[in-house]
Amino acid sequence: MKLKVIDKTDTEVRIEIVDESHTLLNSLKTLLLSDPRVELATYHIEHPTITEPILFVKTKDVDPIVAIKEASDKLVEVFEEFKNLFNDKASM
Amino acid sequence: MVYYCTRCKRLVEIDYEAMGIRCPYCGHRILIKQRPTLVKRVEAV
Amino acid sequence: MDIDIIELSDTKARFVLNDVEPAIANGLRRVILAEVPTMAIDYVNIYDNTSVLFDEQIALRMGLIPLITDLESYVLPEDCDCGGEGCTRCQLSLNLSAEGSKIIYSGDLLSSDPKVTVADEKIPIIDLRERQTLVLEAVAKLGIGRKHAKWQAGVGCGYKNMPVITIKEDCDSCGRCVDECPRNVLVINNDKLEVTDPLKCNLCKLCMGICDIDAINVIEKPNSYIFNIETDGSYPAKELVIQGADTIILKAGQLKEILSEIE
Repeated sequence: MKLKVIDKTDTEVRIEIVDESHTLLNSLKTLLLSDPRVELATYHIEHPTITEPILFVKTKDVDPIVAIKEASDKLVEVFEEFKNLFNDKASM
Repeated sequence: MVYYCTRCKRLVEIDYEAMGIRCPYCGHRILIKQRPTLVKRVEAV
Repeated sequence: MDIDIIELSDTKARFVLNDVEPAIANGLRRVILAEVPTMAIDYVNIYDNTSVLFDEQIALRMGLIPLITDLESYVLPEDCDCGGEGCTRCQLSLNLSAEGSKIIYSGDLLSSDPKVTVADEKIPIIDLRERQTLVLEAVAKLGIGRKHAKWQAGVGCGYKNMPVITIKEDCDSCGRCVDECPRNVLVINNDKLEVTDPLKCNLCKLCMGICDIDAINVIEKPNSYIFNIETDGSYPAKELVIQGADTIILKAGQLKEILSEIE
């Protein structure tokens, strides 16, 4: 994974995420939107094979990078919870 | 160039200029080129 | 979040996943289909081939043989210290030397690592006749399904919404919905319409269409999914689901790490 920051202000950021797809970005977008400090979160893949996805986040007052970091933490939490729960139920 | 004759199963040396494509032993005209002994790397796609 | 496991065997898993966002469920599906690393033959060194198939056709057939994957001793070639050139940490070889006449099966491949063997020993590679020989060395590497289908660990993975079938009091038990249902979910028992197994319902809603008095109602329960997962044998189904979750955890961790660097 590689990141390219296209533009960044105090409340807005546009990042190209190289070598990723809907798999990560859609989940991440949903979790960003569940954050009340985030005003807008979306991503766009212009062409599925020749371009890389671009994530756009607009926040109310926090640094958007911090919001993305917290959302990825939340994503880890969700899948850790899923993994542990699945492991418990499967070994029963 | 060494070829393999499909009728008499012999390895034959061909002189194209003198007699064309033809087995010098049995006269058969279907000859197969031998596989070279080097290792061939093929991508599994 | 809540999980109910319906079926779990070596190659198949079926479970109900409750209270998660659609994006999370879809992320899990996508990661199992295309992002879990698995072993597959990458290229083949052919020493001798006098069989009826071309070298390229044999190589393709070899590539599609599922191999049991050991993620502890192998890493992806791009993450390896050797830089993808090929070392014992990122690749292994399988040897085959056979002469006819007999059918050569995947089980005839001799692996250099006893942990990584073919998942199914009864896959025919080629039918050799008398005096035909095949001598080759196949090199297997880890890869992901996004690159090539031979690296797909979850060959079948999908989900549907949990159906909720409600039958109202004014149902006259005419039985037309029972005949209409393609999955035989409905049954008339003691003059009363009953649902046998709602998990079998495919949400086609034909029963709703045929009912004149709107006595039956089928809805999709939001945030509740029935997952169906099938593996190619490279992992047990349970392991595959856990690896799927691990892969996405790894991705999210990487993202956070890189963001901390650029901040």
